[in-house]
Amino acid sequence: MEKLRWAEKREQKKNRKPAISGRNRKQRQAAACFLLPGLAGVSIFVLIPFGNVFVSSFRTSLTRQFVGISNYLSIFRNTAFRLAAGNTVRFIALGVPLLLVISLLLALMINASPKWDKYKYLYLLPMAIPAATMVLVWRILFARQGFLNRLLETHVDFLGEGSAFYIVLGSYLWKNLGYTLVLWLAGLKAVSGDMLDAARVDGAGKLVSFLRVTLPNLKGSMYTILVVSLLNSFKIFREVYLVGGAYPQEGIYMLQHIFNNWYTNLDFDKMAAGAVMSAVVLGGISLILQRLWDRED
Amino acid sequence: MLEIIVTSSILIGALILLRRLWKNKISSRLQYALWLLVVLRLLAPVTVFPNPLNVMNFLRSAVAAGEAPERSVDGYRIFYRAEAFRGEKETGTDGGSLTEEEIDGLWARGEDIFAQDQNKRADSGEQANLGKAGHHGEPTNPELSKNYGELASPKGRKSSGPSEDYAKWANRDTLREQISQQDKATSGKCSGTGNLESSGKEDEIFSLKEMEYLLEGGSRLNRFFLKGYARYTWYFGMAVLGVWMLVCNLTFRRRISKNRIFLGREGELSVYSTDEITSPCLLGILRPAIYLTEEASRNTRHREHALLHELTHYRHKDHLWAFIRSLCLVIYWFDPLVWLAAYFSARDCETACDEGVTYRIGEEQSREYGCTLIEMASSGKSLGLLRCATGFSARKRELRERISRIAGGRKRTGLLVTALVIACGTALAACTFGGAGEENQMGRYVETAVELPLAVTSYASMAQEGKIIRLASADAGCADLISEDGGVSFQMDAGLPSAYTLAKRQSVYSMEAASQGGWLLRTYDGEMKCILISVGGQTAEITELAGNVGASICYGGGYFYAWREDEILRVDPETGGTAFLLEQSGMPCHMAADKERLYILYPGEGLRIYDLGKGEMAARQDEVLSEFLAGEAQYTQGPAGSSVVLYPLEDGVYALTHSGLYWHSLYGEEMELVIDGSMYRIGGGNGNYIGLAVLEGEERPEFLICYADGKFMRYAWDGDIPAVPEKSLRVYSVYEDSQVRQGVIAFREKYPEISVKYEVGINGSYGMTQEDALKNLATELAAGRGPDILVMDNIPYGSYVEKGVLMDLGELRQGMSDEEYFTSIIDGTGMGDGLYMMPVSFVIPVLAGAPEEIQGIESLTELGDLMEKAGNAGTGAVIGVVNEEEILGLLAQSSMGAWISQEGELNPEAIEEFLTQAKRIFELQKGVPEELRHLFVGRPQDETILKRRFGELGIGEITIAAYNRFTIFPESPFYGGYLGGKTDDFNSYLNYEGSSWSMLPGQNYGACMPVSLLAVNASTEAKEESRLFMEYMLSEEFQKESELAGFPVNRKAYFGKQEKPEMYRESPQTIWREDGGIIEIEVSWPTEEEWKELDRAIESVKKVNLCDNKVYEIVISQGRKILEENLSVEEGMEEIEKQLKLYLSE
Repeated sequence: MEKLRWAEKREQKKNRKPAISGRNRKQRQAAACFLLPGLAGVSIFVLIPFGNVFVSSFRTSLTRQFVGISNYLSIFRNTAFRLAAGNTVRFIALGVPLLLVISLLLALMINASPKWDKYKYLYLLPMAIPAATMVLVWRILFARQGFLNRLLETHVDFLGEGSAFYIVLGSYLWKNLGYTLVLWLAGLKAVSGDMLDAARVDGAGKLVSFLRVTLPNLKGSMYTILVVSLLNSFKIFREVYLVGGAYPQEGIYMLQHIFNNWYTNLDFDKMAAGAVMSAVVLGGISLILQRLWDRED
Repeated sequence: MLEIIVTSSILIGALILLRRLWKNKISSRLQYALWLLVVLRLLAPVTVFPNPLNVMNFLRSAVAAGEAPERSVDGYRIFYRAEAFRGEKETGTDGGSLTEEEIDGLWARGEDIFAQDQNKRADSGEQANLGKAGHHGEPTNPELSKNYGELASPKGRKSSGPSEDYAKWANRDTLREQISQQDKATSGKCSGTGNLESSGKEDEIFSLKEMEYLLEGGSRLNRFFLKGYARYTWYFGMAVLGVWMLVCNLTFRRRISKNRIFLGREGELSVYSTDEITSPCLLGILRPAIYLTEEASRNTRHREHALLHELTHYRHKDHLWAFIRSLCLVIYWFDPLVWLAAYFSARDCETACDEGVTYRIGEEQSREYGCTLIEMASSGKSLGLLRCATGFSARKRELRERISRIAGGRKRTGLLVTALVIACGTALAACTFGGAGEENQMGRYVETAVELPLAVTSYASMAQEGKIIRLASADAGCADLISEDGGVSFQMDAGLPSAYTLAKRQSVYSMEAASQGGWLLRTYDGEMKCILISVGGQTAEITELAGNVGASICYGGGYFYAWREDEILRVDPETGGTAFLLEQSGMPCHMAADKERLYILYPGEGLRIYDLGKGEMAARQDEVLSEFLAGEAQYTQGPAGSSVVLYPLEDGVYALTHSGLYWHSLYGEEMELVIDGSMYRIGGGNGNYIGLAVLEGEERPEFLICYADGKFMRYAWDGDIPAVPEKSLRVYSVYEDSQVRQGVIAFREKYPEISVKYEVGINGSYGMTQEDALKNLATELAAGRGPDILVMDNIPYGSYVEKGVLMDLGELRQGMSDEEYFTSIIDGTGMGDGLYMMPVSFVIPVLAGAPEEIQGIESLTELGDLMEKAGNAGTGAVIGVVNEEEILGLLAQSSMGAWISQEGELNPEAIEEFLTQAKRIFELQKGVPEELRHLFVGRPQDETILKRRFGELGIGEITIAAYNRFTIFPESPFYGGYLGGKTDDFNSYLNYEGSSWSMLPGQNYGACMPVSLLAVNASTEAKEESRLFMEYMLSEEFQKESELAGFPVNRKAYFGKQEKPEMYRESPQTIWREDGGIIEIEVSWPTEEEWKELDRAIESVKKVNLCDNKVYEIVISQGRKILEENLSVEEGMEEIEKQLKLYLSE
């Protein structure tokens, strides 16, 4: 049985129509023409400069002498870079899944009880709060003479200790919860009620129907939400920079900090190498995710 | 016009070539579409944007390089016209804008040309015949020679020789006479010869533009068309062709519409059949219609194909394009390339149409279509290019191409090829569209110093009335100056009323002069009084303005205006009468007025405009001006001029600020920069202005600025020099540096041909931090447009040296001998493999106290021990500082160099030792009473790194420390600070009552602190100028005369400063102590011994105390925490290491 099914799948794959059916050469041409301006813009402002960065990563900073991969080696050895990369990875690895899971749970809860619908406009409020305001609130809460210290009767500068990481993580979650929540809700609503009913009729419980029916249908939204959350996790730099300056506490010292500081010190070569590394890693991740998604398609 | 012709020709040429190249590779329709570029270029003559890539830029310079042949003109024509201009000028008719000199210049030019012509003809053996002289050997203008013939050669052809005739009319007077005689003789007749003045040809031949061209004698392509001939020929041709086109088409139309048979409609188009035409065509622009031949209408297949073809033409809008094509031809009839383009585009039109047809009907039917084409091939000529109709059949050659194309099947233009084609098209467009850049901008303001008969340190007020400028001085011993010729020369004002000179005998705090005479003074003799002295000499006391409170006065529009205690009053300069204007709280830093408005300026808040006519605040305030000035204005101390000067003029106002001189028309949108402050003395930090005068200039207004330091500068526009001078230098520092500023100003005076721009990184933009300034600098350096000279005081020099940004100054250093410079100090800033920076000056940290105790102490620990010993013995303070920051700063002066090596290695033990000792010593200071802890006396410092590191008010400087010690801690046995700069009283304090001094002990004992480290950008293009600047900044000439913020690095200048100046007077200094006692200190010039002691100390300096800014900041801030909050040294060290870890590991 299984073998047959697999063979069928193979057949299907072969005869599958291409994604963009070439109905009409003219239409494809038109499509190309439409894409051209956008592509030109992206090329000029993103792709070509990145090509320049790639070339620069093999040369010294201002004198532009070819040095091979020594820039890459030096950033690998650079403790600050390793720290920054580690922090960034740690942040993303913790933050993004947490965000996805928590917001999904909340979305499920809200979806179940329709009376929460009218509060949906409040969900997005945290995202609208500007970074500087956030920082002010952090200071009020977490400074040495701040609110939390008063409460706990200690004198700890929370933003200067390891706890800073968790504060930043928490605020990332708080800020993006509403946004991802709304996206999940949209995805949930798209799950056709019929299928759920059918599953219920077949005797599936809540958990099973969630796992077998809802979740697979949410794959599309999950991909979008994952990408969006990933991007937003980089944006947390704004708050971190405002509160910690160029050299914040160790745990929240991220990639952008080190790039920022390298710039002031004219370390353009290291920046280029770092940028290429990050691009490779991120590109790799998204490709892997895409493969995973495709396979389950 | 010329630009369009050249660029379109290039475009057309390129397209034709490329067309050849990709003949069979791209679709015909794309090919046809490319002609659109040509149409755009030809018909859209407006240059929307300046395009630096435009080929005209390159051509122009190429042409200018090769001289265009000089236009040969008649000498006497020039004479004639020049005189005519002069005549017109005199009679006031439109004489153009030539000045007398220019007219004379034309005469001279005419003489030259005439003489040349004479010589040429003499050489070629021809008799000189003035009446026949023409350009390029063409016959003369008959009119002129007819009229001039008599004048020129009275005997007709055979003249007796050039000289007589030349003499006859080369004399301007006789010529004039002749002209006027001629006028009289011929006036009234309107034959072709008519009045010389008004015979159109003369005017047309030499218009004002042409005369200017002749004056310049230049040769540029565009001028070739100056002569109206070209233009009129063009118009003529256009008219002819246009008429022809019109006539052709209309007759064609007429002919056709006469016997046409209506066949039916295809969509919107009507189809007719007629026998007047040889091939089917689409006719008409507004209401197009298809006309088929008899034969075509009969044969179904032919009809079908013909219809398809014409319909495709219609869809492609070819009937419109044909019209546009004809239009282009009419306009550019003289350009053969345009004709060529029309031909090719017509061909492409047809092939594109064919392609369109075959696309629709498919491959099989295309064969039939091809057959139809051949069958219907007419032997007659195809429609002319001017016809606004599209045809069907074609000539043999074209036919062959078309058939082969049809047979060749559909061209699949690959995406790549399309992209390539589009790229080519874009590139072509980029090179030919847009306007060619402006030619080299010419003209800029030149700054010159005006010599004043009296060299005074400063004047208190400047007033202007037209060309009369008054400079009033507040010093009784110093006369006022007046200039009556717009500032060209100044004399002492003799006509001053005695009451005025009398009033000045008192101590004048501030004053203001009225432009027509009259003065308002605020004098102090125990009490502040305000006196008005009118121009007649009457005195009046203005009681409303008396009293010891701040007041701000200005003069404008005939009255004095004064602010005092929340009120603004108007004072009449004649009568002394006052009038209350309005209530206004807060003292303005500057006011200005004219007859209509009063401008009141507050720093940080902005400008308020008061309407004098209506007697109330202006209904509409000017936000743009207000915002701009709010950032620039500052309060100034005492009567030392103003940081902003406003000069209202008619409907706008000139604003003189530290960033430059701006013009703003009231309620307008922008501040227009007239003179850029960073390139002249106008810019910069502390320099304030006494006044501004605006005078009429030839092309642009002239400005006179009186500075608070006594300099008086004129700014005149010179239109002949390039706007951006060839030799220029950019000096950059992150913060304002007063030594560099002085150096830049002096350098400009010494080398006026080098333009120096002094840029300050922190330039007052809102919220700018040091990091932002450094990032901007990094951006500039990365783009290759960095400054030439950098002041490295706040720049991370380690990274910069590592990246090779700074030039090795070895060569410069080699030229510096030991006798002339303190070479050990200069070398001290060297890093490993070379010398990249040189300090302008340096200071040495010293410790004062009883000689036997401070001798031999060198290390920080020993100092700590000494302090402890003293502390245990005495009471309270030991080293005369009041707070944590001070003690740390003081000890850092001699220790900071040990904390981090030049290569970036942190030395934690040194830092730990430093903090421990600092804490220890500070503990001993705890005896200082609480109320004295934040009390100190200081004086405002010049802008240098010392001010930024150690304090605004000079805390850390030894004389301030001494002063504070005497007032607050008289029992303190020791005190310390840095010694340098104004050094003529160090001995009086340091050697008071047997005390002595030595170098401050520390971890880097025997080192000095450099101030203003100069470096040169390795990639500078102005190498020579940079070298000159560096040499000048370190030269005896500059360093001896200037007020440096430390000891000069130039040894000769240093010794030069030891010479006692003639005007030196000894002055006893009385110091009131906090506890009520008084100390009298005799401040006298240092004796030889004392100088020698200083010399010895300086000679012993072999090292330099340099510390990375970030490390310094972190150590000091943690140090403060340790001292303030009882943090332990270990904790502090941990924190420091933590913070620096990231910094150092990057």
